[in-house]
Amino acid sequence: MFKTLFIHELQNYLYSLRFQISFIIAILVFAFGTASYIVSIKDTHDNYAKFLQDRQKQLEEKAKNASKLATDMDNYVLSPNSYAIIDDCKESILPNKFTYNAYNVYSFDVRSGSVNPLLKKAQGLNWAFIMSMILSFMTLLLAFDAISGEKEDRTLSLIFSNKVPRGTFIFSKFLSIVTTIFSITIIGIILSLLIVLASGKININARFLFEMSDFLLISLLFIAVMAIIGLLASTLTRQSNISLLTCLTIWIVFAVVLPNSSLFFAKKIFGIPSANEVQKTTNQELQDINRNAPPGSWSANGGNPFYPRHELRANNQTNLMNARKRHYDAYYNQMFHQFESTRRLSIFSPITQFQCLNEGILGGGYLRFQKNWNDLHSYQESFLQWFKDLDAKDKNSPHWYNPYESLSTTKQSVSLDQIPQYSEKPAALVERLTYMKGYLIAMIVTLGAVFAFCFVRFLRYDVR
Amino acid sequence: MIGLIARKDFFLNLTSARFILGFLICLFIIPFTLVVSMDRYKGQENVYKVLNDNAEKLLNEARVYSQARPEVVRKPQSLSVFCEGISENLGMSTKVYLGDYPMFLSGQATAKDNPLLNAFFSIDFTSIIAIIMSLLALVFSYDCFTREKENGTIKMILVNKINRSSFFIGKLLGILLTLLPILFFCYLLGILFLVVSPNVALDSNTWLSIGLLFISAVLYVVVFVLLGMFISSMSRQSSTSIIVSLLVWIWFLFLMPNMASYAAQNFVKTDLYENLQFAVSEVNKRHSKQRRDKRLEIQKQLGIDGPNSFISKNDDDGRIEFYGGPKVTFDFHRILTPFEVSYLLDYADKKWALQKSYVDDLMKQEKTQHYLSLLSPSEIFIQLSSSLCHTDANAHSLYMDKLREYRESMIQYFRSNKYFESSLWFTPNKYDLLCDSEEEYKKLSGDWYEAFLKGKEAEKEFSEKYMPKEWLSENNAYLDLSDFPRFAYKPQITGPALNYAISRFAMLLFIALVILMLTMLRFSGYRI
Repeated sequence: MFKTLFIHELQNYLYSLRFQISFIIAILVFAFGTASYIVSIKDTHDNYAKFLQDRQKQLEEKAKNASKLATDMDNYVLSPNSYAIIDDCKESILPNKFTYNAYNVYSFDVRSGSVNPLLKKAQGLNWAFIMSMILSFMTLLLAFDAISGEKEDRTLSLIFSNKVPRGTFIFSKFLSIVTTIFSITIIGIILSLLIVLASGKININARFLFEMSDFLLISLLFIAVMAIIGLLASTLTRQSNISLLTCLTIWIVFAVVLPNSSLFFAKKIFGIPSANEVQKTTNQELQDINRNAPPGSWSANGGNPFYPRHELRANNQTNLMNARKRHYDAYYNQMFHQFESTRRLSIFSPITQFQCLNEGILGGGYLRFQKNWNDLHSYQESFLQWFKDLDAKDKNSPHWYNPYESLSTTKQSVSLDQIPQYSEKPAALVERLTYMKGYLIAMIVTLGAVFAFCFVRFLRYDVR
Repeated sequence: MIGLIARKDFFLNLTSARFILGFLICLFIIPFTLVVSMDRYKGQENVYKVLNDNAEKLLNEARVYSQARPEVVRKPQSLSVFCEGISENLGMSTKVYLGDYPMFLSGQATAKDNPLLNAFFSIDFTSIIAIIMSLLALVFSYDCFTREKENGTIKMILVNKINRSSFFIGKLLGILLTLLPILFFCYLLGILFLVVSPNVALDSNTWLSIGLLFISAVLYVVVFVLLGMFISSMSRQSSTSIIVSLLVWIWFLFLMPNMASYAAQNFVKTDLYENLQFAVSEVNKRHSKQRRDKRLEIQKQLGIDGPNSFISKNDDDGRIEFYGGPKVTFDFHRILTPFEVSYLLDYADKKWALQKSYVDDLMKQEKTQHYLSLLSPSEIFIQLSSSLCHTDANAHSLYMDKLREYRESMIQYFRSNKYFESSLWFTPNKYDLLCDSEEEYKKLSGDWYEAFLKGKEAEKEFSEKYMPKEWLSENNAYLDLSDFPRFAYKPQITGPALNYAISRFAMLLFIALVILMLTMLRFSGYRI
């Protein structure tokens, strides 16, 4: 019975006008998005390679003086990601630049020019966008009249005059909608991959295939959630135009209102002090440190590393750095908390759940940012240790460590291959799973709860 | 007869579920969006006040002309409550340097201090109007012919002496009569939010913009109503018509804008900003070398190791301020300043050639996005609104042009008053107050340092006894900068902004007329 119903429903959907138009639109966007991405990928990588080259030149310059190497501020800029065709995880607008030296990791920021500031903010045409905005909408368009439409056509009473269990009927509807939309997804992705392969500009390796298969699994789950929401709307009403309006309202809330109102709630509910306030408090403490510093703490003699007051100066500068670090690290933690809490607010939206799950699968977005932030701290400690070991061997150095100046530490030159350099490591599977856990549970719970509600509603649905 | 059909449709729509649901959506979402926009605007206003006060204070506290580098803070546009445009992408202030052309507004953009919050988009009033009103327009118009046909009423109406165009216009008016009060309510609410806000002064120019905003919104709704009617005239069944309408809606509202932006960013190439920075730093290095060579040449000419002074501040933009020291330091700066200023201006031009090419590439991307977006009526409406609210890229570009003109006027001010040749460029101290020889100064400063190490009291006593009081910066008066040029540019709905708005309005009108013609043509042959 289930098989007959399922095939019948699937045929109905596949021959419908809505499927045909949706299919054409989705395939067009898949093809256009991939082609646009392919066109720019080489330039993006070339630009980044040029940046690394320039950075290496600067490093060579600094390596002539180990102290300068340790104290000069350096920026680590995240490389273009390899999974942008699946989902760019908003990495161009999230912090993607870190400032550090051997003594501290100072700050993070969105690098200038990361996106063109003259363009209106928009999302990339990657697979995740097509899923979350287009196919989610199309799923609702297929599902909104699955029950109410049959009732209007009076076919529902006809069906149930036979021995058709209601559970089987609704499940066949659900599965046929999911199959229809998922088939568009699969065809779109295959087309996209064919364009990628034909261009030869992206290396499709095992990791990419693994991430892609994970993405497909999550997409399937996401389509299922959207389909069941559409079916629920259909069981809540007797007229298909009302269930359509309900579906549209739900979609606007999930896709537009909830994600776009988060910023307002972030500031109102999870407010943090402004950067100006933090700077003021920090400056007060820095002024106190300077005021209480022993006389001569600001004296310097560039020609003599053993000038006794350099030790006072180094101590004072270290105290200043530690105070600043204390204030700003606490502030950054508040920022992380604000971001995470705000995200949790919009967790009710399956679209947000889907986006967060993609970050987990790909190890991108906020997960990538957090990993780099933490890894850079570990790297900075090993960099400092390397510098201290180098300094300890130099008899011409008084070993007075100053985080900002190269006055009284080793001025030896070092070769480039000796210098420990930071290299980004992708998030491990365990880290990704930990990140995804909450969102995955939320999505499964949403699916289960809506399905149960829909089922109960349909059991009581007046089919006459 | 037209009135009768319009009235009938209007009352029918009023009692429909879609009207109630549509009105409820507007009732919740529009005020919420306005609260969010108003909150954002207030945040920007607060930032503006703090930045502007600081900038004024800094400028007014200059004691030498080389320190007179104004910081220009852009006042947030009150109409950004309606349409945010690109204002959130950019900062609010820029310092006007001699050695650099203003490229972008930088600094703090909004009250949004946490860069992680960039991940959350905020949607403005115009975008919400574009989304909801177009949806409502389609929902009310998709079945205007098909429903009558399905119910069999169209036959009954048209067998009477009613011509098809009267029926068509009656239908159109009926839908517009239903939708326009909702639209009017939304804009009225927006105006109320602005009027009751204590920070907003509404001048005639703002009222004109608001009026034009409303008219363009009416035209936008007309376009989508006509589009729905056209789809209805193409379909035999309402179920087909609604599906096509909604797919057209998602195409225009969500796909086209993203496709345009994505294509513009990918097809029009720009360099990495860091690479531009690197090229600029290379020019800066050449500048520093030329500057250093000149300094050494003058030092050699005067027979000194370097300029000594009791207090000194300087930076790479030629800002130099010193107090106390030997007379030769005074001579040194008097000779150096004209060269230094000339190098600064020269290298600013060289850097600007690189920066302008980068800005031009960004503008090319923006233009491409704009032209591709013209394929969507909703994007034309949003472009038109952001142009009227002065929050689009053109307004920013014009503002930056004015800022660069202002930099020129500042240089002209220094030149015409001969401040580059004046000692007031680098010190308020008179020549006679300085030590005759370097040895005399070195002895005096050495003795002062001894006193300083003994404590504050000893240092104070020494300073009062042996040093001219003008050697301390606070004992010198601030400059009178009442005639210093101030940046005073206020965007108006005139010139290019008006032309741009008119062109977008004409496009919407053209689209409306084309769809109107097509629909009427289709409906004249519609099988009832």
